[in-house]
Amino acid sequence: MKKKEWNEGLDHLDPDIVEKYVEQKDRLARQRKMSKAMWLRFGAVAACFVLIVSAIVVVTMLKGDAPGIIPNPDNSDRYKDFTIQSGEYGIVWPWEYKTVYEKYYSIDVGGTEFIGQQRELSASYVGEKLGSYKATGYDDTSDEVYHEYFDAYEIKDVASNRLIAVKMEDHYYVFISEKYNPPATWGGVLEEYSLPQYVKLGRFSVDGDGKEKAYHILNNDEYIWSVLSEAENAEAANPVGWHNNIGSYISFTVTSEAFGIYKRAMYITESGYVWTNAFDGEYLYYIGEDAAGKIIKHAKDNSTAAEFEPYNKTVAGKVTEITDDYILVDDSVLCKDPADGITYKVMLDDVKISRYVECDFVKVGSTVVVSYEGDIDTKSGNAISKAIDISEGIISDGDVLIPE
Amino acid sequence: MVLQSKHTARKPMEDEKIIELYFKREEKAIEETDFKYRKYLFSIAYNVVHDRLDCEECLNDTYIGAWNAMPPSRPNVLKAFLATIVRRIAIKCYHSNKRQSLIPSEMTVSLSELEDFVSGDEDVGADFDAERLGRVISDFVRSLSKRRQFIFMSRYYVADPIDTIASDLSLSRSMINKELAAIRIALKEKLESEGYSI
Repeated sequence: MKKKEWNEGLDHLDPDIVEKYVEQKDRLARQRKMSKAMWLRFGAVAACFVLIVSAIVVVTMLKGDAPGIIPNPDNSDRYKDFTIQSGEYGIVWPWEYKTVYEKYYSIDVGGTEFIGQQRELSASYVGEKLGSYKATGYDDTSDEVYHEYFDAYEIKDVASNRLIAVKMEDHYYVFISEKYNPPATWGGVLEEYSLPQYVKLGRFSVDGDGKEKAYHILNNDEYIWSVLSEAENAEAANPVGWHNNIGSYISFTVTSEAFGIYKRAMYITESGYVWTNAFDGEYLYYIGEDAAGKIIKHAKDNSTAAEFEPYNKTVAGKVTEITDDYILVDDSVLCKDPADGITYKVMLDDVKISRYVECDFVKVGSTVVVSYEGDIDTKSGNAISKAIDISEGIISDGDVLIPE
Repeated sequence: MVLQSKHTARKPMEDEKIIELYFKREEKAIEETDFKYRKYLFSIAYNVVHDRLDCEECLNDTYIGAWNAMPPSRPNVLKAFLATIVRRIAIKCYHSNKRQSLIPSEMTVSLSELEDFVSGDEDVGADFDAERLGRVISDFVRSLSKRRQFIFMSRYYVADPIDTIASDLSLSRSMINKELAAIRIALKEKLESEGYSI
């Protein structure tokens, strides 16, 4: 067969094959976008500046001057000077090891697709029921597509074409409209999301993020919201290329249970812009230099200095024991004096963490980095609750890998 | 610091509305199509012809093709409909080049992978029935698993690079190569069984 004949044959493929291919490609792109968004949430406070260079990422220098990373400040100088790298396992979880909100990441509400924010919402935020709608799940290991109906609800005082709550297995989860469609004005953002009601402006940094930057905690955010409310007529601007000339700015950390977001960012720039990635896509509005100047000055004058805070709390060390209920992680390998090591009990109380053990990704002797959102209970053998992720750790001293 | 000029964010139009514009014979249909799908269509054309100027021509011809096709055609999936048109035009451009085998495009590479049963830059034979071959390939594609269908279409329909397919499916490059090898073996058997000379 000649090449031209082959290609002309392909030109006569049944249209439904091409349609299915294009739809599958779009679906895969959405999944990647989602997983990238999740990755960014684990990467930095100012997600837009994160550069993912490779699958192996240096997560942090576990030195004594990094509050928040080391759970016991009294022993904050016990660590050696080293770098620990967190290698992504790149795990595609089998269907049965996914949480319900990981399984059903997408739900069609009256023709609009909503994507799960992967965060739970308290019932107190949930408003009127919108109806029962079909959710779609995709099993990466078998290519099977699953559908299930779930009840969807309004989130109180939030436009239901923006964000909704979906009830799954007696818990509520936040889903966000897949369409990128910023309100035409800043007033629209304030109104449609009830932003002042659901976002408390507290921690902020000046001119960027990182351990070398200055951090502050705002005493009270009322004045800033009043200035931002006065700028309600500010029009949406095009964020493409905007970051290249951002100039001087302050960056608030934005966390909101109602929106299903954790440590996103909102910038106020001296050049008069307010920018946020709180709603996945970038929102950018020109509020004017005067309003922005007032906000920046007020924030600097009415805040207290704070220290750098990592995105996630983590512990690292070697796994010494695995049971059905917990794993023990001993960090003495990281200490100047191994006798100063602490053994943490990472509770396997959620499938998100227990699956690492059940699927044999974590074994006794592994060096791991455990991220968690809960607390360390020193009275219960340094028990860590709400662990959310385990990754393989590679410890290096300078450029030399320490043999494990 | 240079102040940015303000631009209102623009949202891509929904496909149904774009199709309606074609049916109303409004030229804004082409503008909206270009705004929404230019990047995607350009990538398909570039995989084939590997020349930006040629790609631009392919895109212009694609928009004219869409304008002429709608109405009467009312596509189920506009993106797929446009992909079919741009591929056909880009392939025509590709084969019109007498030195097509030297074009450093993914299409050239993907065709070379099929050299066990697809070779020769000559024109089609007088008795060649493209529609019949299309049906045979369609049957073959439907016989594949969903994953292999995607890999086949990515590699041999739109000539996506292996790395792109691997990234799309979150699989390794070597895994995609293994899958492609298996697909080619099955495809060769299918074509032989249908009487196509290899």
